[in-house]
Parts: sequence; structure tokens; C-alpha cells
Amino acid sequence: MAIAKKLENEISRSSPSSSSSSLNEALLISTMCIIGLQVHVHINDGSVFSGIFYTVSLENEFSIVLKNAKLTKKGRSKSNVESGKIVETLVILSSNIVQIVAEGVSLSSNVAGEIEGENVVSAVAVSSFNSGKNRRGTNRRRNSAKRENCLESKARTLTSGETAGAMKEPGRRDEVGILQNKYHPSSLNHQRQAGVRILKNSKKITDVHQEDNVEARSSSCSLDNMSERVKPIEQEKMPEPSSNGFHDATERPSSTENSSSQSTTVDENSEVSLVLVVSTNSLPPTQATDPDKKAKEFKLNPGAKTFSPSLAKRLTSAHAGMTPVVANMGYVPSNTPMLPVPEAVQPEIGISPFLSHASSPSKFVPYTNLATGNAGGGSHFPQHMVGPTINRGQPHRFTTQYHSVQPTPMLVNPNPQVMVGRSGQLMYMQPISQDLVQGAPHNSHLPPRPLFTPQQFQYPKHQSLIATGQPMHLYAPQPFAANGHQPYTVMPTDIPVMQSPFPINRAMPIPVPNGFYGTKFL
Amino acid sequence: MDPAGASVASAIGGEGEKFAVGNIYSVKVITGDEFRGIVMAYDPIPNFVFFEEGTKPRPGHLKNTRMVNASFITGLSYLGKTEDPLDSDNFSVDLNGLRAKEALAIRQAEADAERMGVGVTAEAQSIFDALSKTLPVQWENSDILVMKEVRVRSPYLSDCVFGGTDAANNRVKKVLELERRRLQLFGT
Repeated sequence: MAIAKKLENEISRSSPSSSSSSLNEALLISTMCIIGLQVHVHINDGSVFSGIFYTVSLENEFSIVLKNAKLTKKGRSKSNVESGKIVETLVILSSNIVQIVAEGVSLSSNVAGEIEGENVVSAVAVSSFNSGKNRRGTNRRRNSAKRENCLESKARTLTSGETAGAMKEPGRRDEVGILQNKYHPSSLNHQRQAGVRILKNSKKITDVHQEDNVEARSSSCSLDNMSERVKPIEQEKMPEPSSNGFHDATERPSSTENSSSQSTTVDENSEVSLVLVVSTNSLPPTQATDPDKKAKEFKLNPGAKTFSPSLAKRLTSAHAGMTPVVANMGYVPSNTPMLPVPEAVQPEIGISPFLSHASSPSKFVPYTNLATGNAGGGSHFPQHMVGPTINRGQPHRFTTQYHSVQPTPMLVNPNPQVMVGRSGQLMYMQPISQDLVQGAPHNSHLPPRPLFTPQQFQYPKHQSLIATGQPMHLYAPQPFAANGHQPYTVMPTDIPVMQSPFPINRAMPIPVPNGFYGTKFL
Repeated sequence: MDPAGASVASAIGGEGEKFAVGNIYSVKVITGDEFRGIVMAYDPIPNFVFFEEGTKPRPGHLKNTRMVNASFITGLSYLGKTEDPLDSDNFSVDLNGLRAKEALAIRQAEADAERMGVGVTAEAQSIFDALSKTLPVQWENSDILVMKEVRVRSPYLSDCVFGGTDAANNRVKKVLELERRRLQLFGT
């Protein structure tokens, strides 16, 4: 922008005096050659400022802009810049400038190319180093933001003191223009360079906090404590701005999901169970009711709106891939670009134990639902018939179904070895063993299963849909055998329901009375 | 204007040709600086002259330049004339390189600014610079924070070291004492 303004001014000046056009071009080129260099500016009162030559304002009157300028020699008259202090942006008018001294200027294309090439390489190295610093914490960024804000205020006071009112706008406009120019090539200039960008970053942070507040209000009172715990982790995530827009889009939903992890996990479990139950009945109703469930998901979970583009893509791919071969081909390339993303998320999850607990159930939810569907299809059928009406009423009732789903895996696989080995994740590990046992005769289906695990939290719904597609082929002969055993499974399920709520309540801070009475009434 | 300037003007020609590209001058400005340079550019509207220091042009080398406001030139004596000091035939400006160079310089200046203490004495800054040679240090208001756990408070003596583990604290005390001794010997 500033360079374009210079050129326009150059053109406008060449018309009144054509004889001096060559001199004007030479002066413009010479000025551009000292951009980015450390210069010493001598003022008419005898003081000397040193800083980085940033730009030149050629409107109305010639003036220069220095970045990170400081007073190296104090002159006769008083100035609002103390000796030794650094000014973020310093604008000096030509009426005050005696001379500008620049050392190490290269005016030849050959030498300039070589040196600038080295600068580019070193810039990349420095940027990686700076990114490491940024990841250490946001406290430094906030402190530096405050410092630079103070410096900006000093610069403004200096410009207001020395410059006329009309001259303020041209200098500021040039600065804004240059910043906009620099912002577009984000590969090199992605690191923060000026207070304006810090202000933008702070605005982004405030926006994220506002979103967190909205989600916290939507969730129940008991979940507020959990959301507060998650917030400091999000603050740590903010110092990691990635240059690619794709990564930004993927990371933001994960942060929002973590903020309301408890409520979302409960909702996802109940929704997944609904999908599975309907699919076990018959194929045509599942196809017909899919759009209705989409609308329900969006209404019940306002946060799910952020996932809509990925949901649409996944659903279309799921419908297209009816046969397992086509499904495998369709899902393999989508997993490869997603692999680096969970690597970035996993170390953050390891920071807090709460997130680590939250991550595992979301991964294993579809398997538990498969087991429950196969074990007691008849027993769960009437409960889920009433389910949609309950869901429409209150979101708290999701917890009731969550309780009802969990106890049944205990009965299906009563393996004492697994219980002794993994006490923490007992309820979620059993279905995996069941799937492995059932999957033994079907070796061809084993490869697609590991593809599901690297996916992120925001895609467990798609995992459930994928699972619903494949089990139809896997468990086609087995439902008849399972139906024969229904009377045996119904009787023992009632007894552990009375017993199991106690350990569940101890493990997770879910409101006990609602779940307990809900199961009784149902 | 100076009589020398008037004589130069009358000798060469019109006012516009006074700072013709290629003219070599010995310049004196109101601040008392004197230098010899070759005129590389001149614009009458802002009244600035761009000089390359020295009396012989070096097209392919780095050089020192001065952009002088003609209004503040107190002495100007003509020394000679050279041709095409800008080497305009081979000249080109790399905008992307300029942006990268500018961004790099600003980042470096910001890093240096973080090392500058605010509201501290020159002695404190010297101690900070000395400690930074061997230990990771940063300013926290007027305290020097070493290795993010040991705090050195004003007046930055070995008795003013607080915090951190015993090993780190003792090490900082030892290094601080040695650096102060070195500063006393060689000066700041």
C-alpha cells in the first residue's frame, strides 16, 4: 500500500516538472534500499534517533517512520522520549530531519540478491525459534502486549506533540497499509511484529472466551466446574496459531468440544445408541430417518453446528460406500491428512487427567453400543421408543440413558482377568475383546478397524455410522441366535442395574437422583 | 545560502543542476558533521539529497549512505563528478527481499528490547548482560529472573538472591559474584 502510494505520488509529481522525474525515481529507489536497515536520524536540535527504517510518507510533506527507535543522543530541546527508552513507532517530519545515516546499504542487484537470500533463510530459522518461545505460555505474550501498548501510546504522544493535526492521518494510514501488505504473506510474517496484531490476537482470545461462556451457560451447573478446569488448557492452546486455515478450522472445534466435554460425551452416547437401535430394526427406516436425526443433532447440540461441513462430507461418503470394499477405499485417503492433527492434540490432552478420561470413552463408545444392541435388543427397544420424547424435554435426562447403557456390558463379558488388569477403563475395554472374538472368522474386515482409532473426537458420530454399516454384514446371522437368548438376558439385567449405579456415581460426577429414579420409572 | 554554494551554483549552471547525480561534494551540516559523498538522488520538493559516502563509486559493494536535508547544509564544496553511481543498468529492487529483511530486523529489535530493563540502572543492565552470557535470564520488573526460578533483586548483590533450589541458588550466587568482580576489574 505505502509503496503504491509512493508510486502514485511519483506519477503526480512527474507531471508538473518532467525534468526532475529521473531524480525523483532515483530518490525513491534509494529510499527503498534502506528499508529494514538500522539508521541514525539526526534532528535539527542536535539529538540523534536510531531505529529500523520502516517507511516514508510522501504525502504533503516528506516524513519517515522508524520502528523500535530510541534516543541515542539528547539534543538541546526537550522531547517526550526519554533517553534509552524504545519507541515502537516513531514518525519524524522532514522539517526536523537534518540527515539520515545508513550503513551497509546495497544498491546493486547482484549483491542485494545474495544478501537478501541469506536474510530469508535466517528469517525462517528465527521464526521457528520464536514459535518455540510463543508456546511456552501466554503470560509473556500478555506482558509484551502491555509493554508494546505503552510504547504505542508514547509514539502517539510524540507524533501528536511534534506533528500537526493534519499530518497524523497520512503516517498512520501508511502504517496500516504496510501491515495489511505484510499480513497476506503469512508464511514469513506470521509472527507478531506490531502492537496492532497483538490487539487482534487479544480480540481473538476474547472471542474464544465469549464462546466458552455461552457453552458453559448452556450446560448444567455441575458442569461449570469442569469447564473452568478446561479453560487454562485452552489458554495454552492459543499461543499455537498455525499458518494453514485447515488446521485452524480443525483445532477450533476440538477446543470447543473439550470445553463442554462432559455434556457432549453424554449427548453423543445417547444419540449413538438411538442410531444403533433404529438400525437393528430394519434398513429402510434408517435411511428415511437420517435427515431427521441430523436436524435433531443440530437442535440439541448448538456446538454441533461447527461440525456441519465435515458431517455432510462424511454422511455422503457413508451413503456412497454401501459395500465394505468401497467404504475402505473412500475412508483411507481421508485419514492420512488427519494424522498430524491428533498428534498435536494428544500432548495437550496428557496435561490434565480429566481430558485423558474423557478421551477414552469417546473412542470406545461405538463398541459398547454394538454390544448392547446385540445382547438385549428386545429389552432396549421400549426404552428407546420413549427416548426421543425425553430428549426433547430436558437435556439432563441424557444421563439416565447413559446409566442404562453402561451396566449391560458388565454382564456380556464377565472376564475376571480383564476386571483385575484394568480397573479404570473396565466397562469400555470389554466390548473390544468381544469384537475381536467375533471378528476372528472375518479376517478381511480387520484392516478397516484400526483406521477409526486415529480420528479425532469430533468424528465419533461418524465412527458410529461406519460401525452401523459394517455390523449389518458381520452380525446378520447372529441376531437370530441372540433373540433365542433374550429371556435369559432380561432377568439378570434387572439385578445389576440396582447394584451398578453406585460405582458409576463414584467414578463420574453425574447427578445421582435423576439417574436412579429415571431407571426405576423406565 | 553559503557563498560557496552560490559559487557552485554559478559554476555548474541552474538551481536544478546543483545536486546532479554523480557530483562529488564535501558536505557540512548544521550539526557539525562533515563528510564527502557522491550525489545519488535529489528531490526538490522534500529538498533531500541522497549521498553515498566516499569519493569513488563502488557499484557492487555495500556502502554507507546519507540522506541530507538540503535546507540544513552549511558547507558545500565541489570536488568532481562521476558517472552513473547508481549503476542503473544493473539495478533492481527485490520487494519480497525487502519485506523479509524488514521483518527480520524488526524481530531482532524486539528481541533486543526484551533484554532491556525498564527503570533500572546501567549497572543493573551490565549485570544482566553478564549473567545472560552463561545463564538464561529475563527481566521481571526490576528483578532479574534466572532459569525461571532464582530471583535477583536490587541492588543485585550475592546476598540478594532468592528462590529456586539450593543448587541453582548457590550457582547463581557464585556466577553473580564472579561477574561483579569482573565488572569491577574491567569496568562496564
